[in-house]
Amino acid sequence: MNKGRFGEFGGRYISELLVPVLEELETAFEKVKEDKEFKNKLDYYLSKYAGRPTPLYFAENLSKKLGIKIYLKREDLLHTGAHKINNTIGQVLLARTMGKKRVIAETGAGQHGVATATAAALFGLECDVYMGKEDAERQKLNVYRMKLLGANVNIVDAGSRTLKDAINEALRDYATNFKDTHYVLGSALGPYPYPSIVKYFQSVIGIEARTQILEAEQCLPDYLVACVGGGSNAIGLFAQFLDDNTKMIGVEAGGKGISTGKHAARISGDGQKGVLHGSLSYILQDNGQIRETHSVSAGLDYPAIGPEHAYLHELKRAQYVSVTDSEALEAFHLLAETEGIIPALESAHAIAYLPKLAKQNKNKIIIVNLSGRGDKDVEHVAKIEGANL
Amino acid sequence: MKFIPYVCCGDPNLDFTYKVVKTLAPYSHIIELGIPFSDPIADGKTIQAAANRALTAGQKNAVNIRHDSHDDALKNGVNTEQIFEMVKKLRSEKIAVPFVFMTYYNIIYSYDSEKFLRAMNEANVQGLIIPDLPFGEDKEFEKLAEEYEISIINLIAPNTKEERAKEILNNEKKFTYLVSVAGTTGARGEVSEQSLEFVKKIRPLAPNGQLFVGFGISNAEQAKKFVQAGADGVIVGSEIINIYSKYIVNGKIDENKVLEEIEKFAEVIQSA
Repeated sequence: MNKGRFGEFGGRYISELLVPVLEELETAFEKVKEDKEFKNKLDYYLSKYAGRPTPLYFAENLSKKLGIKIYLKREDLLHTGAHKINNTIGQVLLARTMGKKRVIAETGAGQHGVATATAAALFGLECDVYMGKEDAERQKLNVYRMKLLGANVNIVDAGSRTLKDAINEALRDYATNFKDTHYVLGSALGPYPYPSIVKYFQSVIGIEARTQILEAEQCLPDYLVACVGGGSNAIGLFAQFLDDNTKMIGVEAGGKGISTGKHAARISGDGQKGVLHGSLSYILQDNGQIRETHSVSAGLDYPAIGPEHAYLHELKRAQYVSVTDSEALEAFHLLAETEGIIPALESAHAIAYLPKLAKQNKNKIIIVNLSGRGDKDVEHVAKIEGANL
Repeated sequence: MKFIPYVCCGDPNLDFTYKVVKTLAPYSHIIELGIPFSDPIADGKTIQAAANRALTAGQKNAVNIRHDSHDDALKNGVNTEQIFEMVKKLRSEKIAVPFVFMTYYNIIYSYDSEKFLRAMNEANVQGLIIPDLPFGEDKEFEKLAEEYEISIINLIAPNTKEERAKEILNNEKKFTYLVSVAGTTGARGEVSEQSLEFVKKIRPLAPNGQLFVGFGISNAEQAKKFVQAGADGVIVGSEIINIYSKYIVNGKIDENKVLEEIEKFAEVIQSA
C-alpha cells in the first residue's frame, strides 16, 4: 500500500500550504505512537477523566426480542456522551507536544465540537469550532455546551450549511493559522495522516471490545455493527477484528430513502469515486459538484465516507448498508423502551439494522457500537414527532 | 507588467464571462479560467460567492439559495462542457491569449481525467492550476497531462521547504504560482514584508522561472511591490469579481458600465 493510501483511496489532496503542515503532523504523530510517556498520559486521561474502559453490555431484553445475542459497546457512557472524546483527548495532547496554542474543529451533531472544547478546556488551549447553520439549529443544546466550555462557535452559513461546509471553513482556518493552530479533525477522513490518526485514537474501542467479548462468550463475535458518517466509531471498532472471521457492517444514513435522493448513503446509495476534503473516496455528487445530503442525524449527514471504509468495501471485508430516518427513529424508541437506553440518533442507525440482521442470523453474537447517547437529540425528536415539551 | 487575471466562469452567466474574457484579453499575459466547484477550500469569500452564483445561475435568489433548492440548483448552473464550448467560441474568433484552467481536482476526476485533458488539448487550453492537487500527489495524472501537452502549474507557498520548492521549479512547465500569504484567496489591504521576502527568496532558485504571485493582490501598487521583489507578474482574481459583483441584481448584470471598469482596471495593472 502506498503511504497515505488505502488501496487507491485516501491520499493528500490539499493546498500546497498544508503540505508541510501535514508532514509535520505526521512526524509528530509517528513520534508519540512510540512515546511511552505520551501513552501513559493518554491512558490516564481516558480512564480517570473520560471513563474508560466502557462496558460491553449484554442487552438481554433486546436480544430476546430479536432472537440474537446483542452486546452494546457503551461509548455513550463516556464523558461528553460519545466516542468522540477518545480522539479529542489524543489529538489535543498531540497538539501540545507540537507546541500549538489553539485548536479548531468542525462539528456536525455537535458531539465532536463538545469533545474538542472539553479537551481544550482541560489542557488550556484556545478553541474555535465550526458548525453549519442548519446543524446549529437542530443541535442547539450542543452549541450552548461548547460555549460553556469556553469555545468560540463559528456558524457557517454557506453551501448546505452542514458538516461539509464546517469542514471547508476549518480547512481554510487551518491553512491560515497553522503556525499556532492544530486542526482536530473528528472523523476518519480528510487528508493523510488524519484517517490514520483518528483510527489510532479510536482503536481503543475495538481493543476493549475484543477482550470483553472473549471474556463473556469465549469466542469472537459473528458480527460488528456500527453507524458510519465519516466512519470514526466504526473504524475504531473494526480495526481490531480485521484479521478475524467476524463480519462487519457499516450503517449509512438512508435519509428519506435512497430513491428520493435525500440521503447520505455513499456506498449503499449512489456515491461515486471522487475527491473531497483531502481524500479520494466514495462521494455523493452530480457532475463533479458535491451534492447536498440529508439525514435526521446531523452526525451522519455528510457526502463522503472515510477512505479506509471505501477500501474495506472494495475488498469486500466490510459490508455497507443503509437505514432510513424513520427506521432510525423507531430504533431510538426501541432501545429506550427495551433497555432503558436512549441512543444518539447516529447510533440509532446501527440499532435499526438489527431487526434486519436478526432475520437470517438467529442466535448469532453481535457487537453494536453504541457510539453516543441521545440526550442531545431528545428535543429534536420531540419536535419531529410533534410532542409538546 | 505581466498580468494574469482570474475569471470565474459562469458568474453570473457564461455570456458575461465571455465578454469579460474578450475585454481582458488585450491586457493579459495569460487568462486563468476558473471552473467553479461547490466546495472551494482554497478560496476566500469573494470567489466562494462567485462560484455559488455560477453554480446556481437561473435561480432567483442566487447568493443565498434556500436550503431545499440547493441540490437542484447545482444541476442548473454552469458545467464543464459549457465552459469548453465558450473557449472554442473565443478561439474561433481569433482570441489568441493563452488560457489556463483553474479548478479543483474533483471536477477533473469526475469528468474523467484523460477525457478532460484531451478536451483541454482540443480547445487549446494550455495549462491547469489545481489548488487541491499538490505537486507529486498524483504522478500518473502528471504524466498523463504531459502526454496531452497540458502544463500543470504548481504552487509554492511561503512555508514550502526549499528542497521541494527547487523540485517544483525544476518541473516548471508554463509558470509557477507563488502563494503570497498563508490563507485563502481574496483582496487584502497591505503587502506584508514577509510576502516580499518570500518572493526574494524564491527568485534566485528560479533563474529561468516565470514567477507569478497571487492571493490578495488587488491594485497596481501592490503588484509593483511584488515585481520589484522579483516576480515576473501578478495574478488577480477576487478584485475583478469585486468590481462587477456589485452590479449583479437578481442574477442579471448591467454589462457596458462594468466591462468599461474592468478594462480600466486591467489597463492600470498592465501598465504599472
